[in-house]
Amino acid sequence: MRKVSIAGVGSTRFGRHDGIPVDELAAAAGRSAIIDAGVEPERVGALYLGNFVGGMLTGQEILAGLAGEAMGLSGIPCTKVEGACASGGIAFRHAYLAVASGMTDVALALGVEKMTHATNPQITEALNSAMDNRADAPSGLTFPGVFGMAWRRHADRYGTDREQVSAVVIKNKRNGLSNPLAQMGAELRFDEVRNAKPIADPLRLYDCCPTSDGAAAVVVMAQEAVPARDRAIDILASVQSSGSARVAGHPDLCSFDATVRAARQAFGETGLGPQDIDFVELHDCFSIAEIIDCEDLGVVPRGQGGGWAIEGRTAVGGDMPINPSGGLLAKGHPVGATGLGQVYEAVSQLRAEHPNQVPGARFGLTHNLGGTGVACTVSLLARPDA
Amino acid sequence: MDTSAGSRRCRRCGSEDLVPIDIDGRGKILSWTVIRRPSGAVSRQGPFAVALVELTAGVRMTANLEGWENEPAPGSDVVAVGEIDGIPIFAASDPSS
Repeated sequence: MRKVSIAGVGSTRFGRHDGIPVDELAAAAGRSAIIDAGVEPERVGALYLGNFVGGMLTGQEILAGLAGEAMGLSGIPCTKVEGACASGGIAFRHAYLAVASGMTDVALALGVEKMTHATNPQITEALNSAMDNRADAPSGLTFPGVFGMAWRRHADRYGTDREQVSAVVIKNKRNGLSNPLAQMGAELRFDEVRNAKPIADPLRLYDCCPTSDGAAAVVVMAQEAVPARDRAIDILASVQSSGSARVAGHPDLCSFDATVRAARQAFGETGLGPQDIDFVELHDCFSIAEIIDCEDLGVVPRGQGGGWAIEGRTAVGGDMPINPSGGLLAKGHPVGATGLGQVYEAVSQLRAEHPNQVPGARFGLTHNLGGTGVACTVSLLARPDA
Repeated sequence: MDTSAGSRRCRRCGSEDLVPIDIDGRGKILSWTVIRRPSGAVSRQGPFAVALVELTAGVRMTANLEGWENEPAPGSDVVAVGEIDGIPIFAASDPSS
């Protein structure tokens, strides 16, 4: 396998993009990534696109081919991948593999979603297709409900309380305020988080990420072919794993074994450990998810995710900055684009260009989780001089 | 070649040698939530409760839960008291009864 770098990144703002067709939204992010990379579009030898609910909410499929055509990338293989909310991370990994294997020197990973035109019940129904619809959905369970159950279990076992969980919301919403790509940055007080309308107990409104439109893109390139090494970011590992698609199939509601597996493999391949990581962009689809994810990744000790959040240890200036971008909670969650949005944020950090810069960041970790933990990707990215 | 499409197999070992067993509908709650904003795919309006239940027989299942207003503690005993569209409804039980 060859060494692979990220040569360029692009992203639309996450939020509402009324009247822009889904393929045009994807193409906008893709074009900026190619310009950022400084490569000729003709050199792109493969395109992978992450998208989850496009077929259900817009009635439009073949999005990879449509986006490729909109960007003038004719004739190359254009492939859509789907792994629920991890679709973007999976697209990134496929682009990485296409280059690492020598199939092409340049590949484009795209992620896109259009959601805000639909009603909440329609969106919930579409997202629910990421459950095993024979086992879980007939009870009326929703994804906020899955994480509500996880919260109650975490609270029961580790004593995690609402103040600690709310600290995640307050941190991420505050980080989002200074991120120009974020949909819903805010300065929130504990009582505002605690008294917001209930969604799936104990989750309330601000514990849940918003629904969003948006697209993000990453140009992946063989290290030896990168034109501007000083702006390139190296991909040390890009791992994908799976777990049970059924809630009852998880050995533990306080952990997603797909995350544990992917993180172990990524650290094992690189010889790095959690202590080497300078910041993490992880899948905080709900407030409690950030607490579970950081423990699963091993960057925070098991059971201490809530404590670290309320003590400020996961803030930008803390021991382990988590979601300096604002995460899904503040930045938004256009599901197919999210995994690539995380890579965009990590690259900005490693280039020392982020609005919430972690000083001296050399190694970053991104984590994208789909469904009930049925699909997961973890990537380790590094500054070339790291 | 008979590919046995559609036949039921054990998810752990792949065996097709499955037999029905009687269960008494008793178990304990591992966790639960109250759905306040349901999916458009279900006809029910919120709020209603969903629980992950571990049956005494060892099987785990997501099911509906009555009496959530009493805030049942994780680990508390429940028994199946009915069903909605084939999904069991559990309620708190007195373990001594």
